[in-house]
Amino acid sequence: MTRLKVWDLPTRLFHWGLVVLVGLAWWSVSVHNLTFHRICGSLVAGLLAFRLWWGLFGGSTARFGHFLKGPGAVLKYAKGLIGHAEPASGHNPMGGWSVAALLTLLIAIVGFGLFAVDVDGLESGPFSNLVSFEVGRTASHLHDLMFDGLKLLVLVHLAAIAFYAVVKREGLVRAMVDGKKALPDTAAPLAPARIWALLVGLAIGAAVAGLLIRLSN
Amino acid sequence: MSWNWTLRAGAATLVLATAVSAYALDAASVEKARSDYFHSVGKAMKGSGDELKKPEPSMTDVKAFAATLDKLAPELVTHFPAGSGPDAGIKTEAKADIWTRPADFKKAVDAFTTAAHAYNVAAQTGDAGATRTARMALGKTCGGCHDSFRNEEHHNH
Repeated sequence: MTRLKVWDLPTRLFHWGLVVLVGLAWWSVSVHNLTFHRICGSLVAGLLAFRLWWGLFGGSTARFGHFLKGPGAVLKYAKGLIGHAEPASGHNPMGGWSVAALLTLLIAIVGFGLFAVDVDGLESGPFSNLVSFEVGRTASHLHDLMFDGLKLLVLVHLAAIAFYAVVKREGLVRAMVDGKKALPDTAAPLAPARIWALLVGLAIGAAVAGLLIRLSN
Repeated sequence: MSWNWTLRAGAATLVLATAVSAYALDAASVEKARSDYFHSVGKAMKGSGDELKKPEPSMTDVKAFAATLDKLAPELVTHFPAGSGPDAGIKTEAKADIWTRPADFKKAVDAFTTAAHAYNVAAQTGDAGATRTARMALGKTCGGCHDSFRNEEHHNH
């Protein structure tokens, strides 16, 4: 077993940036600071746009094609979970789908937020002027509902991390910090992305975030 | 005698049931009208806000929305008759505090009415900047009242 590189820096920054920004978005709404909430949401949208790009052109372990496996692989992994499954280089077949679900929920939350209108008709998302008050209210309820779903999924995510730490003795948090994970010497390490892919991804993310911030306030 | 008593008990039950259902129906229709009322307020707030967000807002539209709000604001108190709170057994976001702290509620409602009027006055001048400021001030009175007197809704449409 050696500690091999499994997560590239952009993927790690995306992960922790998301944790911080979703946390701030949650906090800002609880103190009724919707201006700051829209900034957080816009930045999350930028991160998600980057992540979608990175899922196609990023480092090997960040690519959707790398971690979205068929039901056979998922089932096989689930059965091996109790026994002696090899630690995965990147997302394991179950974790991969959990990532897909997290990303889908986040996209839905941001998407509904763009059109959401609060009960007073005072605060609203940047595209709410394109919809009626009623549609904006529905978008707001769905924005809420999807966030409840996200909280649930984050709990599952944390429970899985705890399970791996205690039962499987795999430090997933540390891997997401320094990018390295203890793997058998035969495991395939990360194949990093090209620099142009990173630059294009950063440009897409910055454009999305910048545009939404401009439209929001 | 037993027939007589049965009859009396039956009649009494009927009267009571009618009274209760009439009361419940009343509170429910008050809640419906109240909800429709706030819906109209929200619509006018959003409508004028969407317009004011534009660099060159149509002040004709904003004036109409602001006039609507000015007209609607004084009607607010009529939507909170005694017995239309959470104790009436209806689904409502209205807090019991509205009726247990009437002076505070009146103060909050008066702030809303005053701000709605100020908004209309600002809008009628046609000055978009001043109207935006007045709309934010009006919005604060919505939030100010909701913080104390309205339960945060949760997923109910």
